[in-house]
Amino acid sequence: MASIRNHAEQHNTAVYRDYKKDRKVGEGAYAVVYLGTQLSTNKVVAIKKIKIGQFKDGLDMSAIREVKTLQELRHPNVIELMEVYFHKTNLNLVLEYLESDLEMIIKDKSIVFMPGDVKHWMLMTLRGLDHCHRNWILHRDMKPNNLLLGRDGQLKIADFGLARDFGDRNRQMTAQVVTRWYRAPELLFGAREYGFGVDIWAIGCIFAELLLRNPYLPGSTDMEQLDTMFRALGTPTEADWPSMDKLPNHIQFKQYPKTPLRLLFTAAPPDTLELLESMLIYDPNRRISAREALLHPYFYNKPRPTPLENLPKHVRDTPEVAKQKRKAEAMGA
Amino acid sequence: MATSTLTTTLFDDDVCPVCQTDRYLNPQMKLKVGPCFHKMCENCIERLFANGPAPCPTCRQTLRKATFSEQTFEDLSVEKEVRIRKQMSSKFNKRREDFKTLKDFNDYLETVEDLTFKLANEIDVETTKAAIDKFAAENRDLIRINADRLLNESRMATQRQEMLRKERQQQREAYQMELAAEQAAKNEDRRMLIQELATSDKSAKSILAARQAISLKKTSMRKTEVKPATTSSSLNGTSLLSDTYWRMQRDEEVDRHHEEDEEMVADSFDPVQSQYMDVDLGVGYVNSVNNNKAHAGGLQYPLLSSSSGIKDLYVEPVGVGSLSKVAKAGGYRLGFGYERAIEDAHTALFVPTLQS
Repeated sequence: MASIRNHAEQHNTAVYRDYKKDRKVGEGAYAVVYLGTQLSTNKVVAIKKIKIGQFKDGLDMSAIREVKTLQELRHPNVIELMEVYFHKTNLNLVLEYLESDLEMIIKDKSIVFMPGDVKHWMLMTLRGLDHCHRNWILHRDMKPNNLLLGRDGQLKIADFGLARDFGDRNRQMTAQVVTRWYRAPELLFGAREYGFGVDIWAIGCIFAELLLRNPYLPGSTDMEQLDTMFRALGTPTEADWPSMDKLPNHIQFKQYPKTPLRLLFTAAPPDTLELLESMLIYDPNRRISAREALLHPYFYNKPRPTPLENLPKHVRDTPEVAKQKRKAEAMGA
Repeated sequence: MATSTLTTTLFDDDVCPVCQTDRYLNPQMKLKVGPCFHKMCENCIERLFANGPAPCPTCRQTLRKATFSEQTFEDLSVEKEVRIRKQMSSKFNKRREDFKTLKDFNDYLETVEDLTFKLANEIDVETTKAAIDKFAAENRDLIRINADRLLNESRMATQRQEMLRKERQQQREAYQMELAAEQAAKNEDRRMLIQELATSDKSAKSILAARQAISLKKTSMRKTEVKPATTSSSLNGTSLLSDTYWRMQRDEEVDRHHEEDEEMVADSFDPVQSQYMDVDLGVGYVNSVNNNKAHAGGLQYPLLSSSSGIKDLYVEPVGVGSLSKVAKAGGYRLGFGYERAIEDAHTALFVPTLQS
């Protein structure tokens, strides 16, 4: 046993020596993200330092989840966990570095989206998600902010802090997941047992957001979220969603009529609307799966997905870089 | 907060003041404006005026359903002025030829403007209305004649437009027929060539050379034929025809390029694209870690899945009993548990034994 430990320590030190943290690029609830370099290859990487000291019970749950799930996933459209190492009392995750995300692109109104662009982004997102689902992992925090875009245009699903493996019925799950605007109706009703549908709903909202260039269902509280959803898509009936009233937090809502999506998404062709509609079906059992979505005619029909190298890119500096530049300018002046 | 400001700035103007419905979530909503220039949505109009005339919720003026009409302009004062002008123009429709001098005509226009301004800004409404009525009574015949004239003119204009449209269509069709004929001639040529090659005993080279000379001559002939045809067509026809010609040709070219490109892409296009790198066991994080451990003389049979440690006991993967309605409504299927269990059982089988 001692030899294993020795070896592990040696390995850890070797890995640690291979990376250099360059500068801080962001800070989350449980981690600080640095931009770094892998010295042996000179590759730019992101290093996520998990703040360990703040948690009495050892590592934060989301850190464990992230390491656990990313270890098992390897796909062009899922962020790559390159290494994990300890330094002092901190756990460090070495991840691929990608400079922008879909949210930046959506908000950058100087960029015009072509239907082919949206199609390729959706294609990459669904490929990555299908891979997660095939490996029994629910992401549970799909939103434009977590879909990172590389310099080459490749989209990668990131932030597996809320992800977990699933399928084992003996372990219940929490309903308090997914950013509110992208949260599926069953989660808002407090379901403790759910499935792939929660990720698909979120992707449906992202799809709509890509078409509208605005959040599709922006609710500011959980109640308002349901209200907004029902006003947009109609209040579900027992026929739409069997046994929905059995869910823990189910509330009877005012009966809103269903407005056809065509009225809001005026420029979208029928295949697009059909895919969007099948992602936003209330009954999670009837909602389309990632694999089915990939095989939907939308992806075969024209226009073809825009080639990777022609996809719009966000070129503006990150806030940190901008700040540094401002500082440098001030110093110069 | 961010969300509410976002939605309000975007859709602020499109809220029914009576029932507060907004256009964002009900894109069908139509705002209409009554004679008192207060907005409300169609649903509210239906509701409020279902039993005949009722007071406007904003200004209490008695209104009827029929007096509401759709709003054309964002700004209600503009809408009001436009409506007043429309009413005025049905009465004050005199023309330049109805006056002896330009000055008279200008004076007339001036008075019309004055009256319109007074009505739009609600100054001396009673006297203004009386003046308008007086004018209408005095000039009743002339108003009718001018209205008829206007009607005739607009009819003429539509007719002229219709004719122009038909002419363009004809030109387009003629061009398409021409193209078809050309294509047919080409095909015929090719057929003849093949036949000649098959039957005659001359060398293939000489036949081809002769053919080429003939076809060149033909195309140049066709070109000269086309030219007089275009020039002989109506006045602005040449520019129109050449314009459509150019556009169609370009479209065709673009289409052809597109189809070539897209067929190439389509052949290799697979939306699923199963590049699952974890199946390739030569690379990957999990493997490298396991290798290291194995080198240290520890594990012999690395297991990939965290939950697939070898157990003697059989564990019912989904618990005993059927699935509750709650789980079903939440989107959980019994199949998930079983599928997962089967996959877990197989996962380790694909890992090759390590060689020491």
